[in-house]
Amino acid sequence: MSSSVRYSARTDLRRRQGRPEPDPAAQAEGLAALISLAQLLAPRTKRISPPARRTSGVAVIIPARDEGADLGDTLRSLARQTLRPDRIVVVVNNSTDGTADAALSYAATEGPVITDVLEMRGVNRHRKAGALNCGIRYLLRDGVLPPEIGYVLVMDGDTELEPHFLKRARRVIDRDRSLGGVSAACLGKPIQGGTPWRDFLLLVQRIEYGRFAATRLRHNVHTMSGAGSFYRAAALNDLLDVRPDVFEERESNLVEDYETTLALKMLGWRVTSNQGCIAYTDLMPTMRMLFAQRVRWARGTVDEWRRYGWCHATWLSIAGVILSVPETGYELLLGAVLMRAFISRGGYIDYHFLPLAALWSAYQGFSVRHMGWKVVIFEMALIPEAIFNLIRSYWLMRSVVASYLGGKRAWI
Amino acid sequence: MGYTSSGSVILAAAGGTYVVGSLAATVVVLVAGGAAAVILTSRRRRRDRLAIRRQA
Repeated sequence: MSSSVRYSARTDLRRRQGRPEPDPAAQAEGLAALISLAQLLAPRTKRISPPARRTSGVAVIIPARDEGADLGDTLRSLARQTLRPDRIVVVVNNSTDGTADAALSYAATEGPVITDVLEMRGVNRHRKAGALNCGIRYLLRDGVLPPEIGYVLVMDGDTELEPHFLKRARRVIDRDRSLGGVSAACLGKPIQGGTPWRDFLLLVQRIEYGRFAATRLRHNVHTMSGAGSFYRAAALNDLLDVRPDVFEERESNLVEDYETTLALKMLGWRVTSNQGCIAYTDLMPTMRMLFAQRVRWARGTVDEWRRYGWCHATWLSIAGVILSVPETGYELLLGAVLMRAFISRGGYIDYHFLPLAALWSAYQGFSVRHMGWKVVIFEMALIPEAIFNLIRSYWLMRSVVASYLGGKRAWI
Repeated sequence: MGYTSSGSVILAAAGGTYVVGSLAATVVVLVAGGAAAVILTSRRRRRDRLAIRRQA
């Protein structure tokens, strides 16, 4: 507790833990009475002492800013875990809605997990990284995570975990000692947009997340997802040996999860993802919000590449983007030529291209077959996905240019 | 004139062969790439499933 006060004067501990502190004297009296009663009633059989409560060694940190509507579901998804965390730390980051109240009301109930609520007030220039570090500092003892904390899960305040997430993530990380973290496979929350346009935006995002999770090839993945990252405490302690914070507190750090991933990789740790560790993340219902989110991701990623340079942690991702440039150019050129021929020749279609389109269509449909037949048909139509891909490519290219020309950074 | 006609036929045939050949090559590359992607993603999924199984 003292660590949070020492490191951040702006942080208040609003509640130490969810369960009320028991009175030791009353507890001892009650226990003695129970033992006497049990001795009277128990049959004369071999007595087996109850097993001690097993701890998972997992601590969870949830930075939350204006997540009052979703935070309760997030916390309940943690309570439903088949491997329960030992403690949860909610960092309420300058919220103006009922986030603090939602966290406190959960902490006050007789929940299965000890829940602490920290409240950051005033200016937090380092945004999410600042809130995450606030939660981590709260857990530190003598500058490192104590031995009883073997793993730290970092997740968003609007994300829900599949009930086996923690159990599976711990198995994955325990099998490979070189792993510093296991990232969630993110899927979109099943939310409704309310209008056809918003439904379309939500659908393309759901498809994007679903396909990304199902068609992953890499073991040592590009980045840990901020929506759900399960870290080995030893890896974070390694990081704390070489710098003051796990999440770098720098105003230009727009992608704190990716920066920390790169820092871990530079220390020799690997990170992976697993399709069985599922997190349901929030989707952007409007184009403006989606645009802001993606430009921040892309811009932040490019900025970090420029900081780290071409190295073993970055080269594969940079090469992927370089290869995507001619691919996007080819798509644009092909689309323009076909469109020109179609218009100038009165609806002309070159049937030579149909086999190519059929193959492309088949692969698109096949890659989303686990998402249901409606999504398969949507994907096999090709055009909507092609348009969304072009928009994403435009956002990426714009972010590359902005990074080099020093355009304004924005956070959402 | 006869020479020109023959040349046109040869050019047309060469052009046709080029178009058909390049399309066929593209189809082969796409099929091979698609098959490789399906195989590799299946292997990744299998490894993911193995990684979350209870240890023996």
